[in-house]
Amino acid sequence: MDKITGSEALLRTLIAEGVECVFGYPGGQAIPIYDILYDYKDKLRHVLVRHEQGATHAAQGYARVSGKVGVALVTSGPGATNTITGIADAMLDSTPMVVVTGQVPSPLLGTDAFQEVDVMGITLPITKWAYQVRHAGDVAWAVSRAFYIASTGRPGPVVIDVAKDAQLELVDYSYEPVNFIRSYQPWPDLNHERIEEAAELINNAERPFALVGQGVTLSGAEEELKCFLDRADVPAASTMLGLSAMPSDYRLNKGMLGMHGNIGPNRKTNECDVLIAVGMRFDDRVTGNLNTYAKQAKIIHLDIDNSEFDKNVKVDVKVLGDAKASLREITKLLKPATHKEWIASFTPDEEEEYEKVIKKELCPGDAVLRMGEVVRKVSEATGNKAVLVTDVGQNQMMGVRYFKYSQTRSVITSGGLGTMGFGLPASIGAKIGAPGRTVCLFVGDGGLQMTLQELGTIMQEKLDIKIILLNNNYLGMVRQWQELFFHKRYSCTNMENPDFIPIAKAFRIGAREIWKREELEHAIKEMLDYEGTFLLVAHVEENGKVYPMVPAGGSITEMLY
Amino acid sequence: MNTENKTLFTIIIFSENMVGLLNQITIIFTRRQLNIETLFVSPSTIAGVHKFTITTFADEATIEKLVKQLDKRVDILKAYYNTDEELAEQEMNNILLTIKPKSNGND
Ligand SMILES: Cc1ncc(C[n+]2csc(CCOP(=O)(O)OP(=O)(O)O)c2C)c(N)n1
Ligand SMILES: [Mg+2]
Repeated sequence: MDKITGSEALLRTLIAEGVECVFGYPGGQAIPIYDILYDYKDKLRHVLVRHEQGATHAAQGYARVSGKVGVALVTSGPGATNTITGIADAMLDSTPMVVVTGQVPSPLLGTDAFQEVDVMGITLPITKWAYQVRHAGDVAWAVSRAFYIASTGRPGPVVIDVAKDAQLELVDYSYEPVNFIRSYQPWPDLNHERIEEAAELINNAERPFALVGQGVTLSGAEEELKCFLDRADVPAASTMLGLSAMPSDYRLNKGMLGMHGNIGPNRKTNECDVLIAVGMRFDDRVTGNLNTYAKQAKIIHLDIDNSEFDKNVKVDVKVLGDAKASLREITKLLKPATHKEWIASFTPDEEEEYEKVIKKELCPGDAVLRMGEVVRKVSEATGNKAVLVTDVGQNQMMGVRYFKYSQTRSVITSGGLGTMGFGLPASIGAKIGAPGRTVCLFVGDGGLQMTLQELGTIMQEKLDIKIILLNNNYLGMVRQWQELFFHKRYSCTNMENPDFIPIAKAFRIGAREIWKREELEHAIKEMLDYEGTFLLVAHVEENGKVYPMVPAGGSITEMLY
Repeated sequence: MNTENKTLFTIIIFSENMVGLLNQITIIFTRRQLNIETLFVSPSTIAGVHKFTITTFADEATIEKLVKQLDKRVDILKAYYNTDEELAEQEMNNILLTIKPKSNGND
């Protein structure tokens, strides 16, 4: 057998694991890997980002849209530290990602060598697994184990830190996929007693209500969820990351939960008699004040992660397992039911929200553009079939609220970490992961400028992304809190912005800006018809607010609007 | 640390012998602002399996969450807790005899 270097072993293992695309940025301690990549150009696509944070967010976007593991490749020291935000984001949002970092040669470890940083120490708290490779012979095993861990059970990010001497060392390469780790049980066996208890509660429920989290998408349980809801006639609402697991127009889909969710789902959480949480984790942005959260209900929690049970909300029935299997088994035991009156009771809340909130966003009485109407018009112009990517802030909440979904894996947004700057690089990964779909990014003026340099990546890769900048010249979401809770003292939230059109032009990206409602439809058409990436700058109301809103720590039934 | 209303718990962890494991474990304590009172690490009777015995003052709800977080780590075979040293000892011996792929925590 011919010996190959650790670097080549790394690339061969990536290919053996099914990797087609790597997002990366070279540097001193990754040069041997990049050197071999030169020979593997036709087997492994490398996307040269403009900042390593962008590599991680692009890998996340790719993973979220495709269900495959996203891969980032960076050098040691600053290359590695630049990935931290993306790794933490992937950890909180359960995104399968493998980050390969170069590291100084192992004899230099611990000596404060040039560009040495303790990657293990920094990343352990924000990874599902992190491992340092010091011998070429470990490469294939460690990388394969990384993919197994990242993609199974509750997915998450894994870091593989490869010392430079291990990259250069020669090794007899053999690849054996890792598909068992004795200390790790990714697919827990179902406990049928719990399944029966859950089914019995649901069969006897008069006002059942389901909360749908990203776990449904991660487990590929969209169909099973629908069968489950249909059979027992259970209305449901999603967390932000769970959006698009059910189509927007599905009769039992009652919208979004939480701080900026819909009125009905939040109120009904505190009126239902049985609450069924599927693959969601009762985040504080969903529950508000825990002391007033669903106290009247029996709670059933389906999750693959044992440590989520009773973490925030004490639950009555814990169904540990993959959502797909759990839902399928529970559904078998469900008696067909109808809950006409209960489902109809959502309608007054929907009407109230339409009158008091939605109408003002979609058909405001004055000339100033609103974020909501821009989002809805773009969504409709794509036949509600596009992938929605958002940044963080008002643009995000307006994006997820007013976009409509007809397919699963259509929402890519930073949930748990709320990372400004996520949007633009994530849209790159989304487009590469779903080249056949239209990708629409909604981003704020603040967030766009956090990772603006990725326009260079878009230019070089000749991607086709529709970027809609919802420009309010403010750090709008912070401004909203200042207006509502800090006596309108707008401290450091006003932004003097550049002229974005020449910036787009400089990156050879199509661009247009609009101020008026009359321009909107035509501009959207121009954007969607344009071959290649297009930046549409929509100048929107400066003091707009996202409503309804559950103030932080407040009860979910006490929404402002 | 104020130990009023708190009990001294003993946490037993069996893990693979991987570099950085102690770090993984202490991070989980630190995040919940728990001080480690005592810590004992040794090889177990199973080759390649390490045993950590850790005591800490806390309330039971916190300890339950902590132990689940520990148990969730990929390279940890099993984590559990007890208030009674003897019981812990006994259970530990049982575990040593029957150690096998991680149970799935479904109870
Ligand atoms: C990296 C990062 N820094 C700070 C914040 C806090 N933050 C949340 S929303 C927001 C304002 C975002 O402004 P902009 O991007 O213009 O979006 P808008 O809310 O105006 O739509 C800020 C500063 C954050 N979420 N992420
Ligand atoms: Mg803004």
